[in-house]
Amino acid sequence: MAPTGLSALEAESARHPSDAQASLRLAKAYYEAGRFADARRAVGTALLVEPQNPEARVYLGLCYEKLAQFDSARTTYQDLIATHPTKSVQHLLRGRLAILEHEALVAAARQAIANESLLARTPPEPNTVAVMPLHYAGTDSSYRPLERGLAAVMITDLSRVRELKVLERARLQALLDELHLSSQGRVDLATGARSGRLLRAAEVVQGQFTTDASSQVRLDATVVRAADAQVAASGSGSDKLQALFNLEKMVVLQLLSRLGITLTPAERVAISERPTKDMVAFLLYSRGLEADDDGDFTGAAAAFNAAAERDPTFTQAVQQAASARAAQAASVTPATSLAAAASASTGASTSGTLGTAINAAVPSGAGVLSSVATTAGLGLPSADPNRIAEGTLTDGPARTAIDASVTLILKLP
Amino acid sequence: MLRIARVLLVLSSAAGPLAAQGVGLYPSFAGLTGFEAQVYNFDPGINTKLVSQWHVPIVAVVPLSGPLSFDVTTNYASQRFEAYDGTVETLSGLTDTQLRLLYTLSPDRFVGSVSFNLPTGQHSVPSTEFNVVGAVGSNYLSFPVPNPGTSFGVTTGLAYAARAGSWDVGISGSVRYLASYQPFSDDDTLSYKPGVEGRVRAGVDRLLGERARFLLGFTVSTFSSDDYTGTNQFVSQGSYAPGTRLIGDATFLRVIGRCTLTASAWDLYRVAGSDTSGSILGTKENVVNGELRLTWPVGPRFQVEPMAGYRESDVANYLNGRMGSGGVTLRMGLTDRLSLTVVGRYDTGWIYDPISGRADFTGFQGSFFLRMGQ
Repeated sequence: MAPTGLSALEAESARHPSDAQASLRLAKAYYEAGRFADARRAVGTALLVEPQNPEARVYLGLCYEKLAQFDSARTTYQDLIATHPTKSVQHLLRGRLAILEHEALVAAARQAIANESLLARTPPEPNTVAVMPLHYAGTDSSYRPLERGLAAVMITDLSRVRELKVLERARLQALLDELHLSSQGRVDLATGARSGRLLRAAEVVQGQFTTDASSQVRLDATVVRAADAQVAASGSGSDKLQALFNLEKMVVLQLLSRLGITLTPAERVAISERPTKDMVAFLLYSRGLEADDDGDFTGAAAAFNAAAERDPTFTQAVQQAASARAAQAASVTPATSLAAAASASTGASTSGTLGTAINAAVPSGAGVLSSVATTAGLGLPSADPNRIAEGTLTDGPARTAIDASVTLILKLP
Repeated sequence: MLRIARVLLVLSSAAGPLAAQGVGLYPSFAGLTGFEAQVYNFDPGINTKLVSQWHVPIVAVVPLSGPLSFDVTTNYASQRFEAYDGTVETLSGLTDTQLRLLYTLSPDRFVGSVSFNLPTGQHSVPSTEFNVVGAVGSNYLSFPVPNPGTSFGVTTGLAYAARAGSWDVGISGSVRYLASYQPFSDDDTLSYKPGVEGRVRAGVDRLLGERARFLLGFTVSTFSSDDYTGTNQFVSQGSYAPGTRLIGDATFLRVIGRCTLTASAWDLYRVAGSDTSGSILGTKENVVNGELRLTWPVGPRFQVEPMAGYRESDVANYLNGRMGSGGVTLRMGLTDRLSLTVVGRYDTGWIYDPISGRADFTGFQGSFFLRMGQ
């Protein structure tokens, strides 16, 4: 019976430093107790002995997440996915990646706010643009989700321009959420410029749109310099709701023109691409973005799925639906279940068997190498007989003279 | 040695970013080198007085892009034969180099390989050094490098692994072709064409509870006939059909307290070969080997592993010899990417055949291996 109390597990792990399972049991107990740094250390000990142990690697990623070491967590999950576990495990790991991206953006926003005085003195990255959600100034609240959808389309369009570097939408959104600006509606130029400085963006696109009873839409947008909160360019227009993308692209082209950016024909063609012809699908997609920003992966998955079902060619909706579904699944899967699933994932468990099989069939020095201690795992000694049995593989002069008997050593000279 | 270390370092750095892809058989670069020596001293009773060998192995396993990886193996080996009548034979040089390419068809499931035997070793030796070549090829004494060299060869292989309930099952097979060559440097009229080898292995392993593991394997090799052209003092023109070779192996590991006990055994059985005159009984052999090892982790990066072993050899229908062994292995992690394994072993036993008689012998084996990489 394995010990379960923390102190008993600590004692067991200390007694058996080369027992990966003992270290892993301790790591799980620490994790459940919220002692993530200790859990990380215990997992590290387990991985020293069994570097490929999938259960330990899952816990390593989870510990990194809890310790806000998002880059390390990301690498850990990506490495695990690269080992080709079962599809369900890959799905869950992709979900964890989506969740940690959300967590990482929030952490980055908090850090930026904490370092605001320092960032205010740091020059922005040239040609870097952030796009704020466009404020809906109308009265029909069903259009409000388009605030984020339109910003997403603008980001896609501006990203087509080679000389611009456009920040991802979720990054700015996380900052706005931390500044508690999301619910305030339209932000003024100074606040927009402040957001830009916090993100080290040189310019910030802000704007608003309205709808009227005849489904006419008006869109106004400005480019604000983060350094001095001055308007660098502006654009506006109005059109039918069904022509929303025409209107958005017209405004984007106005802004680019007034910023003095000359587009290549290829860039102009790329910007003219519409994400979807179905405005209902776009509205559903926009609702999905809203839910995703709030960390509501279930709601996001439902909205993105609905958008993708209405228009299967709506690439962004299809991709976001897959990501949200994975995040939804991962968000409701406890650490123990994810680790157990990864462990049971047959892909990782037969690697030793496969290596032995190929080394036995096609001998090489790799068989010898596997019997020698590794630095990470002073693992179990190999009893692989290949090396010895390969004595009979000799086809040199030894076999040439096989008629002289294998007891040649005795008979000759 | 410095040059070898540099090569390993270059390979290590080249493989680093590729290893992260993790699709191929090898998760990351690993390299091995070191020094190994083995010597047997025979008492009077047979003419053989001493057989020894030392070698420097060079092994590297390198993950390439995506599912492709390769490993390369070669040795510098030196062997010596001394007889009571004063005969001394030595043979030194690079051995053949095996370059094995591995392609992962399905990760952790299915791997294909093609291995090239590059004839960098001494495949043609003077007939006056034939004894030393034959001696280190003995299955009973089991030298680390049993063959200085042959000819260019190609081995293609496939291996498949799957889970069946609590068991992991591995099945593999290969076909090996070797080109013809002249085995004797002072007799270029004799040409030797080794037969094609077909090999199949089936293995299973499983955990037994949380603290024990069991592995079992069975390998069968069959050979088409070797062909000789020309005649010399050892062989005549014609063909020789090597007997089928069967190898069974079993290993049981059990964690006991802080230590791990390993009991392992293998048995090699070779059916008698035959030539045009019929079966050659003297080529039938059976070698059985058993070992017990206790791995004791003295510290997180240091293990001490005492061992005891027993081996018995039967040739034709008589007992060819028995050998007992005792030794210790030290396994040390020097840095995060460098480990050292030091082995010392003592053997004692006897060897016999009806014509030459019987002699006791003692043997020593000493080695150290440096392994780079995880």
